[in-house]
Amino acid sequence: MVPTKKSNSLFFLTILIILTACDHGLAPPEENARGAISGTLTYSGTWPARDSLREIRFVGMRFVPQDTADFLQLNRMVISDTLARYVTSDSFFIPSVQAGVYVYSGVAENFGRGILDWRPIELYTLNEGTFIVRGNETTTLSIDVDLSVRPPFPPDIDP
Amino acid sequence: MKVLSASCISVICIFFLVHSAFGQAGSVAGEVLDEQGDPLIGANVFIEGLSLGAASDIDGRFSINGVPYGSYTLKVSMVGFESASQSISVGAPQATIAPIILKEEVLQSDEVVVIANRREQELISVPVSVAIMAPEELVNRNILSLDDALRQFSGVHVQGNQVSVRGSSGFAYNVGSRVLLLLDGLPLLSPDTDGIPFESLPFAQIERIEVLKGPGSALYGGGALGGVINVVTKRFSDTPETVIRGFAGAYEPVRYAEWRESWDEADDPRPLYGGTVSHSHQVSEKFGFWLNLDFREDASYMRLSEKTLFQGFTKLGWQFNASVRLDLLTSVLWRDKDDFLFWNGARDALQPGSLAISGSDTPSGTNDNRSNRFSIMPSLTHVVDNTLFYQFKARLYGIGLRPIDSRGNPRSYSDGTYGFRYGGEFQMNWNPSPHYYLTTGLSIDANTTHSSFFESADGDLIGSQPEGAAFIQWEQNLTSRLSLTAGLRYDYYSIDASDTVTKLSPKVNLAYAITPGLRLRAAYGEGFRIPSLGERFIEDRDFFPIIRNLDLIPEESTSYEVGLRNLLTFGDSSTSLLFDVAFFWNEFDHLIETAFVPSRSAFQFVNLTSARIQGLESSIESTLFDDAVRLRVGYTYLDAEDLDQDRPLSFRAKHQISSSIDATVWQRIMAGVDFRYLSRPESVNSDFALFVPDAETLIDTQVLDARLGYKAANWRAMFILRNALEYYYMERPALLAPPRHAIIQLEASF
Repeated sequence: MVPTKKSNSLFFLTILIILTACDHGLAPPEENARGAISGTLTYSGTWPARDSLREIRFVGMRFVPQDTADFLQLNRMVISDTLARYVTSDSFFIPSVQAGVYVYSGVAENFGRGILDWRPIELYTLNEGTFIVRGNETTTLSIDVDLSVRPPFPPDIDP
Repeated sequence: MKVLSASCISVICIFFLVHSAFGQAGSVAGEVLDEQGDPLIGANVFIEGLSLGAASDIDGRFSINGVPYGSYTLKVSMVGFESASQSISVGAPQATIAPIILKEEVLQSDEVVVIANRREQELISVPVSVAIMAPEELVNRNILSLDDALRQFSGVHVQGNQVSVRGSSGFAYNVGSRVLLLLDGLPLLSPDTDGIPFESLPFAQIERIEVLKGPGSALYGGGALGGVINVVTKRFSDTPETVIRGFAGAYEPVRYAEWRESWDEADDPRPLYGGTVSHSHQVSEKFGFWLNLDFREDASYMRLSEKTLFQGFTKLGWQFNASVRLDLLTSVLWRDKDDFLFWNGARDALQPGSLAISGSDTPSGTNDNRSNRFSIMPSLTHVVDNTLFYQFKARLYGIGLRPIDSRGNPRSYSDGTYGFRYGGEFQMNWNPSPHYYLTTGLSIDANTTHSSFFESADGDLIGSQPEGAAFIQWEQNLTSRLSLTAGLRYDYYSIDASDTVTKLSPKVNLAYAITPGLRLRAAYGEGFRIPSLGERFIEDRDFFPIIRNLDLIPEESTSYEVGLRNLLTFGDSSTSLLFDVAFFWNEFDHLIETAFVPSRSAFQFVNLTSARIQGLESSIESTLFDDAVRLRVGYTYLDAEDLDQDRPLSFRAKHQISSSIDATVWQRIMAGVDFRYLSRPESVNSDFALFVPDAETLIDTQVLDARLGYKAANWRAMFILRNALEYYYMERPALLAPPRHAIIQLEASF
């Protein structure tokens, strides 16, 4: 006994229906709205010795870090290019930043070779340290960096 | 219910009252036995021409009352046995007849496996879960890589280039396989990482692929933690046979513009093509050979993921006399390949990503290299007599891996990896009676690898792990239906001359033949895996930050299984149904996974966790309509728990369905469809997701492959459409699986 023409037609019709009716699984996610951050930095105090300050950058975080290991959550952070050191003021511009609320941000220094050898030297404190980046808009920040006082890290968290 | 029963009894009483009014009646009693004289329970006994019958009881006895005096034919039937009939004469109140002997039905199953007990056995009778794939299935699907074949097996989950049998493996870029690969019984894991060389097999000369689902260390030693795959090559063709096969196809451009946006070539179909030439001939009574040459080119659907491959296999066989035989299997391989490791995000899935913490300027998400491999595997068999034979096997397996520089030129081997795995084994099989079988042997194995990515315990770039082992297995038929298999293997490893590891791996199997076609089995086994050189010694800061771990200890597993296998044949055996169901419980300790170590700013292989994986696996295979239709459906349920972290084990799918149907639709035209489904893994390695964008994006797998072919006497043509539903999915995080692609395959044989 072999399948009949009718059963063959039914078989291929079923296949055709399956081919056209199913969803296509994974799709590119909707692009998050993106904005930009523009900032000016004004330094006061004494810069540390050159051999102890390797690099400084502006870092914006959409979470409050609890430990240096949290610096690895790169997908929830935005980092500027390297900033100038031993200057009295500087500015930066980050052109493509995921829109959202940034709750812990500031200027950070790299003091060692490890990727976690970073610590803040000044935090953005206006509006309790929070700023918002909106889609297609540029958020402007201004931070006064006092080089003589380091903020605590991990941060003090209100209970 | 009581009313119904009362009615039935009333009708029966009336029937007998009426019947007895017309003549005298007696009873017939007897017993039904098998050929060994054991009683058969539940045999159907009835008198032809009368509506009278009975079933045999626990002692095989039966009694039929109310039989009118006269001569009749008594018929007896039972599933798994040939029917019997006997003439009887009832002329007294009680007629007792001689015992009726039923012969066991000979089942038409020619499927044999070697993997279960290191000897050929009928698949139906092995006491563990084993599945096989025949060569026709490889050809029909244009399978050119072992992972493509394994995707068809129930209970086997392929994640990119990592194989998981019943959830044994997570994902580690084919480093430290928990499933052992054997080629004609000899281990073939790579010497550097213990990875599976998926493409390096003679696909046109494969007799079958066997998969043992469960630990196999009692027979095969380290590596067989979760299962064993055995690729069995063909014998030689009695007449000269040449097969030329070519294929060409293309990946369809992905439908989403976002994915094509950053790579211009993604807008066009991406080609893949290749060819195989094979020849086989038993030249004389004493000498035979086959050879298998392959070429493949794959432009890939992802950027920086092309592949070119040439390889050749030969098998030579000398039959020196009636009892001594030598086989020699050799291979060489040359391959240029970009390994696409992870994407640049779910919006840029065709581009390799970069690991933000590596100091490298090049993308970390791809790894371009040229590899060379060769293997030499001699095997000497001496059949002493009908009850005894022994084998000596040896192997030398070498690899060389050279990174490709920015100009496309391979760098030197000293900048890459080269290594050898070599060893041999002696095996003796003794079958002194049909009820006993002894398998025993010795094995030695060593691997030595030099790699610019290694830093061994003594600080050099060379790692080695020599091993010696002894194994023994005893099979015994305890009764005509119950058989016992017990095995034990002792392994001794020397780790880079600085440490030693010893392991004792037992196994016990019980098989009970309820009927010849219905087998109950119970299995207990232990497995282990010695960490590979790669996991122990790899050290790299430039490309991918990873550090060595000299403190790794072996992974271990304990497995329990209860299963039932039923083979039914109908008519003239052209229609058959094989049903298998198994419940399994596996415990794993010291599982090695990659983890990010913040204090070292790098990844490391660590003994991360213990796990319990329990579940159910069921499968049905059937041939219908005079073999015009072949059907296979399998379902696996996994409950995989990370015992240390009290959460689902990473990268395991809870539900898996694999199915296929092949049919002769009209004369020489055949068609087939494969469908596989895997539920979205409940958990992924979160350390990986810290660095790779959208690495936690997971989705169900729903893949349908279809094929249509024409088969003539000396040639065949196949059209194969893979991922016909154009379903985008990932077999592992951050890597898009192949989109829809079509292949035309032509084959001529003469």
